[in-house]
Amino acid sequence: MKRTGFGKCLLTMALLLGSVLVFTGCGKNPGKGEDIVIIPTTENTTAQTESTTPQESTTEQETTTQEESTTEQETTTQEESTTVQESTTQEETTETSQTPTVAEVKAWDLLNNEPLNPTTSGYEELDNLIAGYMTMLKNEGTLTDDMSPYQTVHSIYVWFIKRITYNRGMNVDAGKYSTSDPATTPEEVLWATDLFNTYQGCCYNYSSAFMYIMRYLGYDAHLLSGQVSSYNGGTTPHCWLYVNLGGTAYTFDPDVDMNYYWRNLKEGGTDEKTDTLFCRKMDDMSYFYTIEKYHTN
Amino acid sequence: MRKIYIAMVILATALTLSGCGGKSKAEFGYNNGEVMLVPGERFDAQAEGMGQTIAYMEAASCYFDGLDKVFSYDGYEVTTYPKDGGDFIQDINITADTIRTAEGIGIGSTLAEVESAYGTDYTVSGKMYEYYKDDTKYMYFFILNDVVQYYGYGMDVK
Repeated sequence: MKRTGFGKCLLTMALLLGSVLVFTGCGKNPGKGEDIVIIPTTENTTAQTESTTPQESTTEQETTTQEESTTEQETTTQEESTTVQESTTQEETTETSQTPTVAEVKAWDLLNNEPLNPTTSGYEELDNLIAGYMTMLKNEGTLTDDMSPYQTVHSIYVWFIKRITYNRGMNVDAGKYSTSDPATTPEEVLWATDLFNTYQGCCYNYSSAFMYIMRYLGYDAHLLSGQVSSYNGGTTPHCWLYVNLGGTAYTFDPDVDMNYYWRNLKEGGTDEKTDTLFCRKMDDMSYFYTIEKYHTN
Repeated sequence: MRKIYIAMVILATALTLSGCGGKSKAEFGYNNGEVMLVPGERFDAQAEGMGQTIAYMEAASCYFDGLDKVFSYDGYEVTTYPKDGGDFIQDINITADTIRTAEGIGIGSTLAEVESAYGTDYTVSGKMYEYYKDDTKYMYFFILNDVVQYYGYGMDVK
């Protein structure tokens, strides 16, 4: 078929559009990639105790490796079956040890590429506690100067999961373990100071403390509370946070990830299940969370 | 008569050495005068000797299937976690300065006094000084500005 001038123009425009989409990252789907390595492999077993393990509801999965994201910007697409785990086994096994896992890549890009604008809470005790906490993490080797923003955030997140002692009672009397005046200090600040002073807490403490850490590091982080799907059906009150990355909101939930991590270990799991709810596109999580309050502090 | 006396001495010695007549590990916890409260053990708020609560809170657990509860009594609080259809003690938090440990430590004591009584083999978590009894149970002192604000007996329930 003979190409006309108009046809050539159309073809050229299509090629240009495709190139632009690939290079701007529109072919990626940041909210989906994180799911890949985190769904329990023994879903039938865990369903008895964790009926609410987040699952992917979409049918298309797009993934990329770090190398691809920084050089060729190529993406691969694969059909997702009923569980994310099933669809990703092959990709996981083809990852090299030097290359971040598929789950890391999305968060890696998002957290590393986000312009940072560090802020403090303006509350002296909390700001001093955070500064001291960061120094402590460096002294103990959890953080090093050569870490990327992603590595810093992820290391602190994992530290929260492994080191903080779960104690629901910490929410009963916010500020009990703080020198700040409860009458003039927002509860979000008190939740965080209580955690940094004791290394204990429940979801309110975990999430508020991590939110202020994220702000300290320069991210635009905010606290959410509402309902989360419960283990055996229904919902339960909960607190988590989101961070704006590249103009899109991504949730982080160190409390529930603490839960998944320790339960997995108890059940004999050998993998480091720390990222189930690390950097998940908020729009994709409405089946799991019901937002009731956007905290302003 | 002499044989009976010797037998009694031997029996008393055996009992002492076996721990029946002295301080034992089972005493880790808080004794309110009538009930021994130990982290990890089942808690019954209705048990004789527990008295009236002055406050009570329950909330869906962030970790367990069920409700975490906090029972407040005069001078102390008991936090429980759900397990096997019951409530088990996670933490006994002493809030009254009149309640002292067997070594005389309590709210108002200094870190030096705590160290003098319990040594320096503690884990510091923020401003919590934790003396671990085993892998999960510990006695703690929450110390701000060198003064014990609270102390108690806790358990890492993870």
